[in-house]
Amino acid sequence: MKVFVPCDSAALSVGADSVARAIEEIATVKGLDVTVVRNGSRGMLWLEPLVEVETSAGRVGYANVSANAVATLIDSGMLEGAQLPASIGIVDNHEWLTRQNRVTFARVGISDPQCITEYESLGGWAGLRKALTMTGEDVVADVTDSGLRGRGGAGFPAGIKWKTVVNATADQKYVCCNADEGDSGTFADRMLMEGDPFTLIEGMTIAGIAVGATRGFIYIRSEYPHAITAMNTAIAKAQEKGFLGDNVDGSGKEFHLDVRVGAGSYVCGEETAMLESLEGKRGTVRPKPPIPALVGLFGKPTIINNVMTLAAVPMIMAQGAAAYQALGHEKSRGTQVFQLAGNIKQGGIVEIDFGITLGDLIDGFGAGTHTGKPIKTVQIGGPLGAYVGTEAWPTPMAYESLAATGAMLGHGGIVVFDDSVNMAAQARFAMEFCAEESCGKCTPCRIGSTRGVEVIDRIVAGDEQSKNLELLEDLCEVMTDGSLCAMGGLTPLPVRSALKLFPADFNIVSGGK
Amino acid sequence: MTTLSERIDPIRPRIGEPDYGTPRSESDVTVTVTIDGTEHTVPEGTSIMRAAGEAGCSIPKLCATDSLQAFGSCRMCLVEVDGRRGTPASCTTPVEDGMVVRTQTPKLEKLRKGVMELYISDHPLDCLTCPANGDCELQDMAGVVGLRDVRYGQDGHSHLDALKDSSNPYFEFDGSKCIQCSRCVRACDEIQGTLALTVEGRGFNSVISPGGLNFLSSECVSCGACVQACPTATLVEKSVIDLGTPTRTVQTTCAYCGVGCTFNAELRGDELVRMVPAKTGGANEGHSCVKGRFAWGYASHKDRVTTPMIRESINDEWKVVSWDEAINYAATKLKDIQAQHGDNSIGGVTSSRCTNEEIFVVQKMIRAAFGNNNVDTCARVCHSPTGYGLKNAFGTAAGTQDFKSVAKTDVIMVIGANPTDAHPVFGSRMKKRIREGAKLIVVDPRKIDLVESAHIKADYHLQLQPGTNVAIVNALAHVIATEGLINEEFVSARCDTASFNQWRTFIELPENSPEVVEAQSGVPAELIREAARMFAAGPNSAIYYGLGVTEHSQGSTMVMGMANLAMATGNLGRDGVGVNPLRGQNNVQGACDMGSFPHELSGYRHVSDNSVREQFETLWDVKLLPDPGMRIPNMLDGALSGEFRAMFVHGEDIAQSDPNTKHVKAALSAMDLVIVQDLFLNETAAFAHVFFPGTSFLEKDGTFTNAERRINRVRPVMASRTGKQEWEIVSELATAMGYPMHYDNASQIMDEVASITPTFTGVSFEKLDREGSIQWPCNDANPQGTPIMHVETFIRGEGQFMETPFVPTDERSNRKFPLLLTTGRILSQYNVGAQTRRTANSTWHAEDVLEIHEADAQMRGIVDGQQVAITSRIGETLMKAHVTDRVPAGVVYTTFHHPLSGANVITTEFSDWATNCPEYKVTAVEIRPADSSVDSVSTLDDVLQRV
Amino acid sequence: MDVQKLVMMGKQIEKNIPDHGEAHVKIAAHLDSFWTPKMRADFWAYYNSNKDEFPGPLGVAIATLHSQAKA
Repeated sequence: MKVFVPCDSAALSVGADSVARAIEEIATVKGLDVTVVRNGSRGMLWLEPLVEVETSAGRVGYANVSANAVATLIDSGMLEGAQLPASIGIVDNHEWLTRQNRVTFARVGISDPQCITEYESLGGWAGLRKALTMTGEDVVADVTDSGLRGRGGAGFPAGIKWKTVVNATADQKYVCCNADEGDSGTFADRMLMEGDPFTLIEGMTIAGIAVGATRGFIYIRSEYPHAITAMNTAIAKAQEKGFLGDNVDGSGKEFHLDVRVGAGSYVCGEETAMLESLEGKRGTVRPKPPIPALVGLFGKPTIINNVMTLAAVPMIMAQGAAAYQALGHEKSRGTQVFQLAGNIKQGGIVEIDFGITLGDLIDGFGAGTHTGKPIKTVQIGGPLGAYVGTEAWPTPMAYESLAATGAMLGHGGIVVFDDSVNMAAQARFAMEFCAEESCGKCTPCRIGSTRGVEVIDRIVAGDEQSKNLELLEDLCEVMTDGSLCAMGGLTPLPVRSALKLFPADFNIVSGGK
Repeated sequence: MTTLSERIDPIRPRIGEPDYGTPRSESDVTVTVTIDGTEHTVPEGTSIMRAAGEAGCSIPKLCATDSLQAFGSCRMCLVEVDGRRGTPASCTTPVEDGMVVRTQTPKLEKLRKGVMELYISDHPLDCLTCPANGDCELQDMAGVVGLRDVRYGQDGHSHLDALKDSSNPYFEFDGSKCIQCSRCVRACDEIQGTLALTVEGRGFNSVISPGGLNFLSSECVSCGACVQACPTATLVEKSVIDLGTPTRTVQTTCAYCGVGCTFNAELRGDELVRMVPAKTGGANEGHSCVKGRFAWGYASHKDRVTTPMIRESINDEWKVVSWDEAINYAATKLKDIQAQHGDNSIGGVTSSRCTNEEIFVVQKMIRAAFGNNNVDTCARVCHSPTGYGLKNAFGTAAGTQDFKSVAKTDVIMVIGANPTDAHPVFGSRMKKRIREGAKLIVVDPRKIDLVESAHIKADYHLQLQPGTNVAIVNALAHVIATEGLINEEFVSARCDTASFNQWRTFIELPENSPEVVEAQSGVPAELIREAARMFAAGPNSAIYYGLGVTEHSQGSTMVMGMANLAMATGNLGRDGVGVNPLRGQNNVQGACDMGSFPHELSGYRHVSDNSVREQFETLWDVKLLPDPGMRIPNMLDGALSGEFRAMFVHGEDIAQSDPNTKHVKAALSAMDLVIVQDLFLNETAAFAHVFFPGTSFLEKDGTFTNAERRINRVRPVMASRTGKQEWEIVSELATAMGYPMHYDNASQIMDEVASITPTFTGVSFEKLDREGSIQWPCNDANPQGTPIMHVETFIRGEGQFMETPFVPTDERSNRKFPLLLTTGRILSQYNVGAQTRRTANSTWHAEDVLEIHEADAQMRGIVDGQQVAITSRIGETLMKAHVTDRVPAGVVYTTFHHPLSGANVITTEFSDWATNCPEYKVTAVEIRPADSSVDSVSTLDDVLQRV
Repeated sequence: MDVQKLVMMGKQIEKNIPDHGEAHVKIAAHLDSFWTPKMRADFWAYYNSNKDEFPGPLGVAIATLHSQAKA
């Protein structure tokens, strides 16, 4: 009998390890034939630890299981799938999941992340095997045709980036996966790496084979110890089974993959700063041009993609570009892995076609705030994303439609705030965050963020308010148009949106003083 | 609104050279771009910033400077490009064909002003009292963008309380003025290659740091690149703080090593404020080292003697006399001695420190007025084997390449040279190429910095026993010959077949195999084989060598051995290859070119060549002797045997620099007359009867020729402190001896050289002033000079292979003297130290120390820092020991910059078989802890009191 | 000059010029090119009374030079 207890960090943080241990101990004592499988998380984080029991009807879920409760639950028939107060029924039938379209996350929460044979039995390696039969140019063409866009935030078409690398002539090329998932309210990369690491390995290998890169690096932030372990373990297994190495799946093609660990800098999630960090240097931003696709890691042509981008590739290869292209909204093709966080009742992963409205995500999936108070605002796309109010509920979640409202999708993280939040403090925090995390290379970000905090303080204190409001606006313009990278360039987004939507929080006196 | 922008051009600073912001593109393809409505065609890869600057639409900038790669941090240079989103930085954006750029729009003006407002919100408002007032790019740009108000105030977070670092003797770091442009860090990385500086912290808390305590204790080599790169007063010369910003410049040439860097001497009125390396300098292209950049204060040191002096006996006090009296006294004495002891009883030496014009006049005086060929030069003791060896092999006594050539080299072989210490500006070029991926083979008994330092690691270090160079070069060639790696095509097309065949038979002998040579040299055979294969694989392999090659009993053989290796592998006659001597002194090449050797007239033509001699005889209206005259060692030996009685010593301190000091001093003491012409009363002057005060390079008018045959102009920065140029004194002495010599100016002397020297016929001051510099040969065949020699054919026709049997030196370690001493230089000091010891450079190297391996030290009970006695069969001297693994066991090493340590007290009379260049690099010695009662600590004061 | 020093120099030159039967010509040329007439004469004088010391090409060279009235 199989019992599933997630090994995902979100589940571990609420005691999943002790739950798993308790089940094993009691089963041993009782002489029950129980196999505890450590699966990834289903992404319904408010239910963790979510224990699933395999039954003939399907996997029955028990929510918020604590180690103390395990004995009682087993005595009450949990292992037989009994209907108990903690049970949520057949997990696959849960509305949170049935409403989703799990493509990239198809296996996350279902399989044992470290079982390479199960990975294969669930459709793994099919994309790689197909890619190995094709020319690099054809693989790149498929990725282009699928409409896949970079999931790191910029939304740049992945196929075009790959095409630049495939066309570049060099003695060495690289594939770098940006897994420095530092945005507040984001966790999709981590959950994928912990919950289905072979998918990322497969996606990167396809990328490497396609563009002629023989080496790949996954740059993971040090705050993700479980993801680092999961990836390293999976890479070792993939090497052992010949899916990585000098002769990928017997094709005669070469691809080597290594994990590199960041050192706590947010800006190293910016792709060029990440390259500097990978090269062992201070994590500062490089100017573009030259673009990394031509002059990237160690000066060589380099694909840099986010985890979600690369993890979408195996499905595209396996099922064809058209299948992926069929999903989505307008120019945003495929699915997006949204992450609901902050003050929300039902937080977690929602992978669904682009185009779902913000309101549906927050109210439909999220079910409102955790505190039960009214929602004041949500911030989309990390600490540098805009704040929007409930008036934005009808906005379809897609690159262009969000941009049209002055917001951005970013990495798909959505953080909810109830009406107790002070937006002047949030605006100040945006500047402070930038001051804290700026690499310090360009002037608008380096000095501007510090001045931003000071100017907001003066505004809130009522000190020469109209003059300082004008100064803040000028500063935001200099940071937006003058910064070297998105760090300084986007910081004004939350500041301006907070000021625009909630001027009262800034103690703005009409007409200034 | 009238703004400062109408008065300040960001491209052209108030003084100094224009700055186009980003380096010149080397592309041959051009693109056409429209900037502010006007079309401009520039090489592909040119930045928008540079294209605009060259077109006269200069764009504001702070972090960009054309000596460094674009960085894109200051955000002052933003522009708008049609069809592109946002406002890209013009420094990091290359122009594209058809691109339409606008550099001045209201949006851009507002952005630039906004950025400048941020800068000034964290910058002291003390322009009027700032040392960089009037020479500050931040100040200029604030004017350009029309900043009038800093709305952020000055009360926010700032760096205004940052501490000053005054630890470096020559410059100061004031963190409160830093704008974080990283130009200093990048200059240290990209130009100097020391990587001493970094940015610490991040964001607003970023600060420039030399790592550790301060600049002085850091890895910083004080090359001055960071100071030059700094756009503000953050890094500024202390001389600028003391004297004020300069107002005018005079371009001249450094007088230290053979690199020959071009400097802009920046003056305020008539006072020299600083020396700034010139970007237009052919040899240095804007870089410098601690000596040329900062160590010029000796020129006005209180020890300078500026009046002529005479005395009857060296035991008498000096008597200050007029020029006329001194010259007549010397002339009368010289004539008297000749009358009594014969024409051949007098002679002189020319100085590699002096200009070509001064040298030419001295050798002319000796040949024409003294009436003999007893002229020699200090190249005798450094690079005479280079002349001998390269002339035999290729037909020209000079290096084959320009310095720039190293940028195209794939495999660099450095033999017996320590460029990062002795030729630092070229060393930086070399390191840059190595960082770009060139392979490196170091052949040296000592672990020099190139073997392993920041971002540099030699692929092979052949750590040979001193004195086994020839064995090693033969073994390298043996591998190439026996493993089928000879470039047969090159050899058959370019070289003399008979000599090649004879050489091939010789080099393939088993005695030259790495396995045999391993026993002689201590270098594992496999390392020799692998290094040889790497060198042969190239495709562009170049040899760079120094005195570690020449100053041996087989110095000339080794030079020929390297020439063989280069010919056998086809590494001659193009960019990136060649056999390249790194000349020790600023004008060694010139001294040789000008006819300073006893057997040669200018242009390396033998005195026995009747047609050549007749040309000189006609021009000079005098009869010349057809036989070679005496070399320096012959003169010294002759003095002891009584046949040589008087010597004119021009700007050289033979009592300190020549081997076997006791012997040299005895010889000088034996002479009836010693005339010294120098800046200072040097060691040799202690034996002199006439002292002619010399001029420093800052007072000279003339030319120096560097190691790449580049003739550079030396221009007077200040008036001669003696009232005369040195060539005037020499001319007057010749005239007083009865041979009239007169020139109105130095230019006339060069005209005379050009008129009679085939390799110089196209050279004139007028042309040098126009072109900047010229590499000889410069004549009708090569009117623009010759950066790379032997391109089509060798000067001598076919390249000549020479057999180079290894003959071990007679100077060997034995039971009594079990260690081998070898010598070299250190970065901050120069040669005998007469100049650098009179500057703050002694901060870094106050005394010579003896490097000794731990095993040898332990065996003798010597600890680091202990005073030790070094004894050879010739003499004994004292020094502090430095226990290190830079030298292998059995080898000890020291420098020879300080007279008190007297390294030459112990060096021997052995010399190169062909040229008598002394065997400085091998002396058998024993080391023992010195008697603690002997107080021999040498301080600068002691030294100065003594001289 | 001390004639012993000349002898030492001469022998060093002899050792460094490989002999395929023509070394005496090269040695003679070297002495002719770089030695003063007096050095050559002094050396010849020494050689003339100590011929046994110079069995190799050096002796032939100095004798040749002398016969050409160069030493």
